[in-house]
Amino acid sequence: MQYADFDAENRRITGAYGRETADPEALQAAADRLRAQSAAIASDADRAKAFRHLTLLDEFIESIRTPAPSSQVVWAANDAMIRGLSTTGTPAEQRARASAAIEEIGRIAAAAPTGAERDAALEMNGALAEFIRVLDGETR
Amino acid sequence: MNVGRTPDSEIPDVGNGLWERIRDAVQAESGAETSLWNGQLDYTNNANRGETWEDGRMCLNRADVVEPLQEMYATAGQPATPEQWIKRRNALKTVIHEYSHVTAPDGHTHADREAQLRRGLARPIEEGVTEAWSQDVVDRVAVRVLPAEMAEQIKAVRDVRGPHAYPAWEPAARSLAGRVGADVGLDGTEVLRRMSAETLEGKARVVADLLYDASDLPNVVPPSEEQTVREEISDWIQGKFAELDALYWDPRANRDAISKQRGLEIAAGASDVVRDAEKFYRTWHHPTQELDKLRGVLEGQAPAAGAPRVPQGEAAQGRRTAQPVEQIATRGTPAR
Repeated sequence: MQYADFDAENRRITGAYGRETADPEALQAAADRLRAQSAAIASDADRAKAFRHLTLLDEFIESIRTPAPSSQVVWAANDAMIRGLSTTGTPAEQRARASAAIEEIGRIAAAAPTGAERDAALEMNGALAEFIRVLDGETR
Repeated sequence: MNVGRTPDSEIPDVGNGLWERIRDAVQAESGAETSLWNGQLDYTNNANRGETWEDGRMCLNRADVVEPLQEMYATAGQPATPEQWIKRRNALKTVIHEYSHVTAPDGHTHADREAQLRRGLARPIEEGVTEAWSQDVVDRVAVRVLPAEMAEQIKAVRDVRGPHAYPAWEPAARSLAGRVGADVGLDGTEVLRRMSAETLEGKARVVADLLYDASDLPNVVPPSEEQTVREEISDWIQGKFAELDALYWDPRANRDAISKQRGLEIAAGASDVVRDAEKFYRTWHHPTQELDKLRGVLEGQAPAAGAPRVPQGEAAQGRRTAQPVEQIATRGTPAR
């Protein structure tokens, strides 16, 4: 197997998630097949690089199988932040959207089931505050 | 030279120099050359947990960030609930996050930072990298800046600290660093550390430089083109990261994993940009050589006088092969 073939298959497996399959076991089976084939890469350096990428691929699949702590609250706040950072419209319209997003994140955070989720949601107001400050051209 | 908290700051000292110790620990852990914090430390005026201004002023939320840390010192040695320690840990994380925003190489000024903020393109990669790196170093910073018994309690709630902020950008930043690290033989956490020490726009440049230096580009790109090529790789990475804003997020998908996937794909795409640049520069010819050649043709001389033809591959030793002038003209923007 050539490294280029390995790289193409590695990308195909990574890209399949959410596009062709959401099943981590199907992805793991493909990753295991690729690992077996990768042992035949002739170049020591390329083989070592391939196995570094296989470790990453395993971690990616494991993150699908066992997601890290996440919450609807934090994602809702994230989505509000991204809407608030939109650069479409006039500066005044952008500022109004960003201010509304800060208020929306405040409401989302207030309803968070845990303090940690509230913390993570409110953290994202930092990007919006910075965005508004830049729009305003404020300096102390 | 780093400054201390200014006397007119709204936020008082905590723990006999905690704010300065965190600043120093962030620099030590990231390896950053300097901090742009100007010593001013005030309260935020809204529901924001923390922000760092263009002039280097830092603001922290009174109830959510400053008071939990004040309480930690005021009640040292007394029992506290896991919820209190989680709040204290997340407060420490926010302070680390804000100090990380103002780490910079020597010579980077407040005006430079403000210009990068105004361009705005680097915000997604800046926040993604800063959140990922800040979360990773909370334990180590705690050990550096807190009394041992407090640091142990901060470390004890690591696994129950809750979700991270910036979930669309933070996993992508981690996987970008991981894949680039795998390409060049570095651990992803080391790539993330190097990015954290840089400015907003410097973060993508760190990745671009790693890929550039590990490729054949140093052998085939003429010195006059080097910075342009590095910038083009960096701009490409930064631009793709900014496109994460516009992703359609399928509510049925594991969105954290989708963010990771996008980070892996950005890194893979950056490698493709490097490969394309290698192919281009292996057969690229300096315009002055081509002008000499053209001049020779116009003067009825042998074209070889100004543009010696050498086999492909020898370009790696600094020589460039001949190529038609019109072909050069159509390839005026290399490495796209």
